[in-house]
Amino acid sequence: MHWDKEKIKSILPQREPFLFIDEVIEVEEGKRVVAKKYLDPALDFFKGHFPGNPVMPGALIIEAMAQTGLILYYTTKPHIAKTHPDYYLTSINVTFKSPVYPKDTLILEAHNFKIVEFGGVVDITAKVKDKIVATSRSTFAVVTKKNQDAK
Amino acid sequence: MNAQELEEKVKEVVASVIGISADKLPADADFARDLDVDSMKAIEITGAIEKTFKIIIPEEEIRKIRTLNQAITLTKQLLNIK
Repeated sequence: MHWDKEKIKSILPQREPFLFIDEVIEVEEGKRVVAKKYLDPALDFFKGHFPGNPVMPGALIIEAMAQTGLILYYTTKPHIAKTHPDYYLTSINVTFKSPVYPKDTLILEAHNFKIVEFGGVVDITAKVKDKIVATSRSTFAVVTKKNQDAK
Repeated sequence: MNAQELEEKVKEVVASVIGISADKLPADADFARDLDVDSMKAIEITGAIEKTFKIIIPEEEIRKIRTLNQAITLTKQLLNIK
């Protein structure tokens, strides 16, 4: 199983420079997905975080994790995801274990704790090579266009 | 597992997700009104019960679980424990 960036763009609403998944390398529909993000040293945020000592901001690791969670949602509720609903990150409990540097490749693995049509809870691990750099449990809400119109 | 053990375990799981001690979780307290449980937290409670008891709670039941007693009743039904 391999999903390229075009396939990912058909699922996620985010676009560069705020798209933090390059490819999806493993999919167990409704159970888990594994995605990758190569951290090009030319990425803009490295210039300011921090000058002379570039590390990936934790907030962006969270974003990469959340986007992986949405890919998992797509594999679980494709009939909803294909309508391009709005997604809202509603909570996250994250632990950072190690810094992430330019030229690293983030490996993001999301597991379904509980996903339903209107949202989900996912557990996500971020690794560089075999080293865990962050873990999280996040929840997100899914608002379909139909529900928006009803408001 | 008997009915009493199940009740205690469900209470423990729900209290853990909400973030309060089990002895401060009244069986008939309304999750949303009394304990500030929103729909996202309800999903997490449901998932925690599923993982603990190795059951699947149908999606349509989630919004119906408004109290600890209702969570216990549903879990008993799914495990066929009286």
